[in-house]
Amino acid sequence: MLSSKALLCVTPMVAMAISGPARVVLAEPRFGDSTWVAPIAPDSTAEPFEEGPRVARPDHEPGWEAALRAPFRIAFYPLRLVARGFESAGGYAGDRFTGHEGKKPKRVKLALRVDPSGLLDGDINDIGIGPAITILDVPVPGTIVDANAAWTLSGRRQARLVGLYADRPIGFFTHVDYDYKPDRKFYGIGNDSKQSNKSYYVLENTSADAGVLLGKYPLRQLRFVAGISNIAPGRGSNTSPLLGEVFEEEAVPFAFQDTQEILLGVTGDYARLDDDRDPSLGVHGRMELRYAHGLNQGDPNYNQWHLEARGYVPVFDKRRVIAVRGVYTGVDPIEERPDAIPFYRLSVSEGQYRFAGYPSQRFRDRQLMTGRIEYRWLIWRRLSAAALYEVGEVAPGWDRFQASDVHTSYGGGLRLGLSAISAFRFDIANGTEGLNVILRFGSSIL
Amino acid sequence: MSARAGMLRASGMVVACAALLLGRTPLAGAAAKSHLKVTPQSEAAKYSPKSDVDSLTWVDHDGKPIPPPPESSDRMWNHLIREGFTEQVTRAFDIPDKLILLGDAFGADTDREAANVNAFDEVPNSSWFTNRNHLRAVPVEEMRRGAYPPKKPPKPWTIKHAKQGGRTLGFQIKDAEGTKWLVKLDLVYPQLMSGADRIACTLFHAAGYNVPHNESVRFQGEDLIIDPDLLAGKDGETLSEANLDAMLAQCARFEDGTFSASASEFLSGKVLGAPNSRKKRRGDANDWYHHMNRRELRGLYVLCSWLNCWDTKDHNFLDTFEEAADSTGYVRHYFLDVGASLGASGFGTKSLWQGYEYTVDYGWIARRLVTLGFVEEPWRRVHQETGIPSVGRFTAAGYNPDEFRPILQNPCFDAMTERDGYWAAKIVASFSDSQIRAAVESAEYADPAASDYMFTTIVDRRNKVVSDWFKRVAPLDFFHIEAGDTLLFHDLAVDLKMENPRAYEVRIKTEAGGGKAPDRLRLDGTKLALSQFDPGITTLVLEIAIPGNDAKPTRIELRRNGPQWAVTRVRHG
Repeated sequence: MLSSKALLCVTPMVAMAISGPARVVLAEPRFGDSTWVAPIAPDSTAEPFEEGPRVARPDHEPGWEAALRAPFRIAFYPLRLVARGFESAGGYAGDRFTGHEGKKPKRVKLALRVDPSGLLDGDINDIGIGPAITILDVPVPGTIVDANAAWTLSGRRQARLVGLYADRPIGFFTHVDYDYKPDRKFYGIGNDSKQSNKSYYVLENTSADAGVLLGKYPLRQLRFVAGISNIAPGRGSNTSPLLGEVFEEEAVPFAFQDTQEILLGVTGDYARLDDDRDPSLGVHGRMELRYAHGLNQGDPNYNQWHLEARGYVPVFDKRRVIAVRGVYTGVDPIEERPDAIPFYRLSVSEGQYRFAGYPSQRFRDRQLMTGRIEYRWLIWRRLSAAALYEVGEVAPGWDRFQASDVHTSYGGGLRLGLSAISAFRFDIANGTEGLNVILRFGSSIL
Repeated sequence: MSARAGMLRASGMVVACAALLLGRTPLAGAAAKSHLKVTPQSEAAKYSPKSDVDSLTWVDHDGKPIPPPPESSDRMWNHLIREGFTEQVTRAFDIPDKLILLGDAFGADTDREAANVNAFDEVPNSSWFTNRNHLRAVPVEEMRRGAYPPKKPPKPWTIKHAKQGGRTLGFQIKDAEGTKWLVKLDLVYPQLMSGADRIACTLFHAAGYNVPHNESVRFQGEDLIIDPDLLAGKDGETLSEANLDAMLAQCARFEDGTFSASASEFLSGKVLGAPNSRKKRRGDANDWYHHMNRRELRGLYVLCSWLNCWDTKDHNFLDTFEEAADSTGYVRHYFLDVGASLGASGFGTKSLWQGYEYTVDYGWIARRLVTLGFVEEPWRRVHQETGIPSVGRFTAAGYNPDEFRPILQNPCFDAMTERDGYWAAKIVASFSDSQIRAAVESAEYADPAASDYMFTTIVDRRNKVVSDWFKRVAPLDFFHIEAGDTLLFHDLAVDLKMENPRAYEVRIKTEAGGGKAPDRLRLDGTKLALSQFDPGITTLVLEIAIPGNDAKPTRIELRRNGPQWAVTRVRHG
């Protein structure tokens, strides 16, 4: 039934307005033809800014809905504020990273930079912050000089200077690093080191190197490098137990002795990939050879090497990929003796060598092998999900690797290719010692 | 007294007199009052949102003079994160929403219908929307010239700024006559973005939306002059000849070497920034309805689906303050940047997923995740490649109007009800083949194959949109009274020759005690003699359905005043 209020609105004028003689239905009207005039089309061409009525009262939420929502709105108001803060931060950051068209390029940029390098070592809470300065085109156009320092939540202190001139077939680079790490972990040396022997020590690393790049593109490039490195392990740490409390100092080579070395080396990458950022078909090989010469008496001389191969095969479509990776890395002393290599210069399962289902730095020895197979499938734009299976082992020599001793990991994660040489990876993997979460900005998607 | 104030006063008098003569009390009172109160008025009363309301009006007078509202401060990235992430997460855990859904499941009517709809289920003209093609067809010749009379920016062009905001390449210019334009360059292929922009602008304008004056243009490097201040880097902004050359190197060229671009004339009025699709504009006393409750914004989904206009984020709308002499004015609302339409994006050809998925589409992410990537999305199934460079990826084959997804979830689109959708589909249906052909011709494609393909595809997509919606809601419309006692209406599906003339079933309700009337009637055409009802009946409510069809019926309310009947209310679906 019509409400009485609605009926009051009806007047003869309305009736005329609706059905009056002005609404002539044109001969053979066809909806949409340029001759079409709808029978109810108003004569008035009044503009909205002229005086006249509104079509309805201001809208508002129905009372019952407001009453239903009110308690939830009050209870979740703090979360709403957090969300607004998140949006504002995103808005601020987004504007900074986009919309620079026409802005005068700055040759010197100063910034406060977040340093995620602690994350690379597997500590999800270890994020740092510090100043950074970037200088472009000095001393020659195409040069990037970046200096930054950071102090992390765990007390890690880091300073770095990077110079890069790589926009030519022959380029140059230099790094100067200072890295003070107060929470390094040591479980012992060997494949059967015990998780219960976890201990901590301090490591202070100072290094500088410089080199020549042959090839403009990082995935097809040869690099010759020379540098100097000083590593000083220390007894203190923010965390306990300390290394000296768990292990006999004599049983740990160079337990608290500094070593200084000159390094000479060659490294190279060669890849044939269908897509450098998100490869689905192709192979990628990497090789690193370094000779380390001790500068002080007692400092060891040794060779360090790294061999790595990756392969990618699509599963009917390039958004589904089976990827495999094998790594073999190690150090070989020039003069063979049991304690020839300082424990902190051995191959360690951390960073790019970390075993997925085990904590960072869990295993160390002269040689390390790891193999991984993963099935990766695209779930959103450039973000892929992955299921992985991995084996890894450390040993004092190549003939001491045993298939029965491998540490297996299985799990899954997310992959986001950022560029040809950087990717974000998030893994949750299970090994024999429990579940591990890894968040990593790595050099490749696999 | 200003000319405009005089005009307002005069119109107030005319309406008051006419209404008094015709016995239209509420409006008469309002108009007379407005006449008597033209001057002086207190500031508070002048800007008060209180105004007379008339559901029968065809003009929603939302342009009353107000002081300039503040500019909106919502950054684009704020909006992207809010609509792409936080609002989605909030919604997923919104308990009241779930309770309301539960109510829905038990038959409660929890849909919130659009606020700005008149008694005839139409959107009155306002500062947002003007009824055009579906009420009075835009002549084909007008469609061919575009949304505005043709006017290309005369050369040479002086570049005043590099384009700010967005990620497409371009610059702001002053043409030889001193008019400001924003030039957006076509990348990859000539006329890919500018052609789509031109067609979409023409059609959206004819549909009723306010759009800027965009022209598809050609130019040569020699036509450009960098403003000396910009060249010198004053105000922290610079554009060198080398920068310009680098920019132009990315721009698409015609065979004769000229560059291809879209030029958009600067809007009159003070720019206030993007409106927030969830809220009303702060400081705008005329903005009575939450934007998500405006039908023209809800129904825009259907038009965007038709034209594959996938970039409908808030920042592709713009409000301007149209100022009068006394520094007051009103806010006008534009729909901008429709170049990301049809088969194009601002960067060239649109990505395959654009128009089919939100940028962050949690539903599809979840489906891909659980199926290990073996699910086949619609945008992979549909062959979108046209092989025509200036068209890009645009198809009608496999097009499902409901599968269209803009780049970002749009609260207005989410709030769309079937009534809103039907209204918009009616507008889509109003475009004839010849009008669409003319709109495509307005893009002046150099490649005739592009014109032909665009025309065919837009027509085919129109037919799919119309067919889809007219199956959901009975397309019975434009109810009117002839000779005082005959109700006439149009079956739009029959008008469009989608259906043969058909019969209708009418359910009838009358007021209590008014006289006897049958409960049901069968109509063999679009005509109902009201004289058959008892003279004691003064109100009728008719629900007209199409037998054997699932389309929701149309409800019409009629009122008798002496021998004359009048349609007082129409509701579709």
